[in-house]
Amino acid sequence: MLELQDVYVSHAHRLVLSGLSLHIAAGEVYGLLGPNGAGKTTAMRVITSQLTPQSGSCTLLGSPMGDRTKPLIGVVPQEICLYDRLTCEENLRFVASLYGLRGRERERRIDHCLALFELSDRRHSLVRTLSGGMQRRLHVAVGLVHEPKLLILDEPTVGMDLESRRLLWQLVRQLRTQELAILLTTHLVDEAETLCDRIGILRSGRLVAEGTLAELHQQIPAVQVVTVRTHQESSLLDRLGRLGIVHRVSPSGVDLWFAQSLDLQQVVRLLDGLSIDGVSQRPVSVEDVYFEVLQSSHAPHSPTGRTGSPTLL
Amino acid sequence: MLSKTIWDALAVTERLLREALHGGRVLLFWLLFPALMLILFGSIYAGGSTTGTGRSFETTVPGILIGAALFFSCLSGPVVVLVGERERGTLRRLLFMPLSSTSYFLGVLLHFALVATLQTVVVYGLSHLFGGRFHGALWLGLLLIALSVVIYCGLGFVLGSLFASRTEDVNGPVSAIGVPLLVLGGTFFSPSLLPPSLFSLAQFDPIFHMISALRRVSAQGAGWPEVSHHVMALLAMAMLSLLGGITAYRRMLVRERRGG
Repeated sequence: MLELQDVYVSHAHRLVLSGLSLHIAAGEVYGLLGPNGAGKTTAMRVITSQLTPQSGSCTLLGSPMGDRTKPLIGVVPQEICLYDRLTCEENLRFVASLYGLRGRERERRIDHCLALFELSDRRHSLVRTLSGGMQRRLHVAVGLVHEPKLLILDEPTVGMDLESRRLLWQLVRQLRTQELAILLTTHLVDEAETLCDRIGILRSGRLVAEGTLAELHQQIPAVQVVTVRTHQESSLLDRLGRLGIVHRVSPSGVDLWFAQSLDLQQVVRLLDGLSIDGVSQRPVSVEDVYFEVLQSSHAPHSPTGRTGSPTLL
Repeated sequence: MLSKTIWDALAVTERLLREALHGGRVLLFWLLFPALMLILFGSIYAGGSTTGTGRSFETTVPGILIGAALFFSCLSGPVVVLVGERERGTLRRLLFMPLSSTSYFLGVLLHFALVATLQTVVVYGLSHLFGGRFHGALWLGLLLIALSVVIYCGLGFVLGSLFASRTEDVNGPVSAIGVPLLVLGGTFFSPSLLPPSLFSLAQFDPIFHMISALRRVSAQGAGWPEVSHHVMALLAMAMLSLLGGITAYRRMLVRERRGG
């Protein structure tokens, strides 16, 4: 469906995209994760024909990006952009008209979108009278009204209340079954984890990791994270260094990574002699993978305190 | 292709009309303002005139229509539309859509042409109530009004694209550039009172040609031979304004893309 091949974009003598390659298949939800300045927005601008790359190619259904591919793409920008002096129905009608929909087909699409986003009863309400969550839903509906082949969701749940967020997640899952590819840019790891079939982690304009959740988990040969809280942090770090246990200093304490599940007794034995304020354990998450991939692609000496290679105990 | 351009322009017009209807006060003020101005100026001139109230209104109505009605709707209006698109972020969304600059411009133009039609009916209708009559050829009057709308809209696009990015910016360029053109164009007094140097300068002011021609057609019953030089000047200015408006809008889109 969407194919980016070795795309380079530079701006003010700085490489913003550095050989970015990715493909998204129909029916797939692809999450593009990355910190601010990683190149997510630039990638989106290339895909939506707002920016021509210096080299490389970007095609949708085999056609190079341009005026011909515009009708095939639905874009949901991060900021809500609606006509607040129009009703929900009128906003959808305006956009549908610009995509060439007329008559009954247009009305059918409008009805469908309003129903899908649970806005049918607010059909004739002016946008400015809607709650923030409803506006956000309509904002997404506007991107879908012309039945695009590729839907780009740029940080879609920013500012959404929990209910609206849950509804949107549910809708994205429903849409996945159709012949629609979805590109989701987000900084919320749990959102990517919940919605995406594959995730690409972008840093400094290139993909530093890509794959399904299972494949990403394999980027870290660990299955369990034990978080230790102590006021003797330096002693703990010394101990971990000596034992060769992979660890990372996080805001909640020191995370110890283990390649197999340990029970708490085994953990306590490892920490014998140290004054411990608390210990908790959880499975490795995409968030762990995300931060680890970013850190390891960033600098040879990680500021997070990662040491050694994963050790089996 | 042409059909898509027209359909898209109609979609833009419909959207603007619906917005205007939902926020009805703007439309009301666009009609109220020239009506009040006409009553005031018509009555003032009638007080010092020996030719009667109707004649005063006939002489006053072209200046009011061009300088008070169309100036604020068709010149300031597009500036407000463009600023609104920017502030709401909808301009960014339009960039992703298959909507050409020409369609967008034509859509906005058609919307303000409809507003101008309403204003023309109200202003001339009011003048008629006070005894004023339209003496010239109706087609010539309509042509002059249509050219005025095109020139104002094009100029509005130039000002909105180049000089105004926020609501607070709207009044600046409209006042700084538009109001001197109004004065020079003879909105408030006859251009015959201008000193020779300013009179020569007024030849380059579209408002001068709009008002002078419409006044001669509407109040004096002049025909094509008497106003053809004004019409030709307005035609040239309309072409320039049209080109300038679309070009300025395109440039704004390029800037918006880069800024994204």
